[in-house]
Amino acid sequence: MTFETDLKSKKHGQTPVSWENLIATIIDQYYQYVVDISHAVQKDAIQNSWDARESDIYKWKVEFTWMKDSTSKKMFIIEDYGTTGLTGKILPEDEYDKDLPEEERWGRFQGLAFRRESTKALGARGQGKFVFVGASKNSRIIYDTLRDDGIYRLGVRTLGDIVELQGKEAEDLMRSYSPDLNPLTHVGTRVIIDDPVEELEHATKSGDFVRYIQTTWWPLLTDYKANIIVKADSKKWEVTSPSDMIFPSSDTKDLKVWTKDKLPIKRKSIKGLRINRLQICWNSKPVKEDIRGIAVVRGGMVVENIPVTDLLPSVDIELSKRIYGYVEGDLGVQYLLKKIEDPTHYKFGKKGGWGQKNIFGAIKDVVSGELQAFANEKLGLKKGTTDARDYLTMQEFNRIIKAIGLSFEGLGSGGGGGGGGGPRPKKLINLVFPLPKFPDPLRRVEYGQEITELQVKIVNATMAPAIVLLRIYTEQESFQREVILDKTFPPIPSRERASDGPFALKIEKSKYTDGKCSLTAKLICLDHPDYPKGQELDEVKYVFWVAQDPPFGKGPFRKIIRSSDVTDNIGGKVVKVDGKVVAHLGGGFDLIMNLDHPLYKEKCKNKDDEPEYVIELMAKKLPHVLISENLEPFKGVEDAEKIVRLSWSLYSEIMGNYYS
Amino acid sequence: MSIIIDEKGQKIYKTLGYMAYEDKERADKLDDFLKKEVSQIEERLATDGLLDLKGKPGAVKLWFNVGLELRKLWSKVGRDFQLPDTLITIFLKAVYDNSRRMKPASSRAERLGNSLFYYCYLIAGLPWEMVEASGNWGEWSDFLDSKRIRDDPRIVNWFIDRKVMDYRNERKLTRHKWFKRITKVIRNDLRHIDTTVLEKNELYEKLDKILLEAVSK
Repeated sequence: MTFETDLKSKKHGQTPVSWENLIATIIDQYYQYVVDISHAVQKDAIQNSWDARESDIYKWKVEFTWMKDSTSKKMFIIEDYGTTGLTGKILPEDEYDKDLPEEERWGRFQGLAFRRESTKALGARGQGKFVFVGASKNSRIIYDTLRDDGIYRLGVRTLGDIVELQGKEAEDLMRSYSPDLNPLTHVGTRVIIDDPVEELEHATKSGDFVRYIQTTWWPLLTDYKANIIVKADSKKWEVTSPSDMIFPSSDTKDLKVWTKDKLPIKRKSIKGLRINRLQICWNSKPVKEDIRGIAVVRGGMVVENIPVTDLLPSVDIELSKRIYGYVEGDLGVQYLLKKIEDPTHYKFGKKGGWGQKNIFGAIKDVVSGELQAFANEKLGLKKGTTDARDYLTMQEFNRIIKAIGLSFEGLGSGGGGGGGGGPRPKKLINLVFPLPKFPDPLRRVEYGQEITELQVKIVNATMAPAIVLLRIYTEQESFQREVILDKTFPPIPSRERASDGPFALKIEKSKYTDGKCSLTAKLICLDHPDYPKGQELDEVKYVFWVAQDPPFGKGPFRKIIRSSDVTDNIGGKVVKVDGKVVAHLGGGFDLIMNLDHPLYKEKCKNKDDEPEYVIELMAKKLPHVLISENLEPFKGVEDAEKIVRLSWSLYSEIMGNYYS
Repeated sequence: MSIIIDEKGQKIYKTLGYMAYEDKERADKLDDFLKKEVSQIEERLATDGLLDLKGKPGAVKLWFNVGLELRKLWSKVGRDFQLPDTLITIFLKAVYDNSRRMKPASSRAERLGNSLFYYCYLIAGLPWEMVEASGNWGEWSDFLDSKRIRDDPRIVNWFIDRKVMDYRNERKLTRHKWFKRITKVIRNDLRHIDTTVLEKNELYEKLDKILLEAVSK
């Protein structure tokens, strides 16, 4: 008997799944990016529906309705028109293990996670439906569909438990759910979130939900005049593109615009990739926070907004509040973006293979360059822009040398900056503590300045109420400097949230010293059946710098100095050189670049050429740094021929990585 | 408010807020004061034969006495130079920079929150008999390496109140092995617990359970 036949004859079981934890984990992933789960509800709902649209897109419509029926049952209904409905058959259990074809929409809506190969479809991994479950206080959704072949079907999901019915049985169960609802009579799909969370009720009634749709789907609303309706009690909104997201064809007194079409993206592996359109606009007044930055659009949906401060690190914070825009790639770019999109659809992956820059990074580079040009040419932003460009160039160089395995540990004033932000392990009682507003994008804070918009949200995704203590404090030199908040929250009911803030932190001269400082928010359990008193439930930490610039990271160069007189003494002869390196005070090296050298004049004919030239120059000068510090791959190497050979291969590797 | 410390071979003024000339003058005075005081402390420790214990069995006596001296010095400096409590780790670094003979060899001495001098300062707050009876310097150092223990002095108080070291007889363990075991169990069990939110009786109850676990294992 072989192992396989032997194995088949044994009793088999399924891996137990804790649905409660699974849903909480998925919801927690969304809370990394949104402060209100309603935002994710609209995004996933419209995306699912748009993917199922029929060929006549002008018949497509989605209605969102918050209602209380005649039995006082609260519900949130998502109903679409002009779609195929949930096509496909009711599948036997074992078929859910397979990766179902896209036509099996019913099966896919029931199942856990499926890849999606179609480039036109927006959704990717099928986890969106669990947002609806997470937005229900009792973790229940009811969904029904009518197909064009007249088949009516109803499903009820309570956490992982599913009931699926067809025909009369389905119609009867639908009527018994609410006397005010009838089975669907038009082709399409309806999803009912039973007993929705308060956030959803508040967002719908206050109009926030409409704004969420506008700021996510304005390309769809503008280009296709998409028909989206929101209803709550007696109010009704027909969603239109947001009035503050406008791009005039030419500059006005209050608006300055920068439009670029068909911008090429440098990728060695795939030729001909382009940004179809980039539009950046400056408003004379600060714009609403939810449209600030440059939106990366894929398939009519805003996935991620790149903050202006990420694109121009030294930009004035007040200026960054006035800039908005978007970038949309061609089909090839959109295909590549989809592959690196987070399952929540709120973020793109930031790293390519082997530490290389991915398509998102390549887009960011182009946008950064254009934004710089816009700022220079139309906003008269001269001060600090060169520094910002140099900062990005050095970051890029540091990324490359890290990718090729060079280490500059111990070179002085290295060390990372920032902290926080990235995905964290998911907790059932967790803390959402978004990055606060620093007066400077590099997170440098001067004495007397304030860090503002400190806001927290506590999510209790467990099945029991929780009493928690929230501590927010700063630490410096291994010592707690200041306690900003030490607050015990009244019991947070199961599946509910609590919040506090916004508040501000002033960096007082009497409490802080120059240098690295951390801001920590920590959640401690005081009473819960599943956790002991004192249990540290969650923690979020951000690093900032008091009266000091953050280090550039673990790279060799600290500063780029531009000079018109750079010479070197070679064998007793003074020679004009393209650049050279000198020690930087406090560790590391400065690169002195000769602006009068013919090579600079030839290669830097316009402002966008300089970063590439600087990278190349740093690659050429890097052996000098490595030899003087006796670092690998030059450690102990004295043979001149070997030094030359190593220098050239290092140069080739750096430039190869840069262009790939 | 400024203190001179050594950072990578360079003397720097560590200041609260922007530095004024007045701060510089006061920091220079403090530095001169520390040079004299530290030298006198070293002289006293040498006279008592304590400096000879450095790196040898029984060194805990030296470091306990160093801690006593540091406590007196901090109290004097705090009063005369008006340094706030938050600067204690920087003050101890300045003491380290000014010391010659009592300067420990280990690199950890240069750290701030978990420097050797800070540990000296902490254990000098306990009765000497108890410190001596409980562990050697290495063991105390391991114990205080836990930030949790450093952050809640009530844990050390419990250690003394419950005469934890006496329990080694029940397991017939050497002092060294018992200290190591109890330290490890406390550190593991309190790894994710912020004990500062517990009432004294709750903390003691928790620690008693940990002690029972260490005894019964």
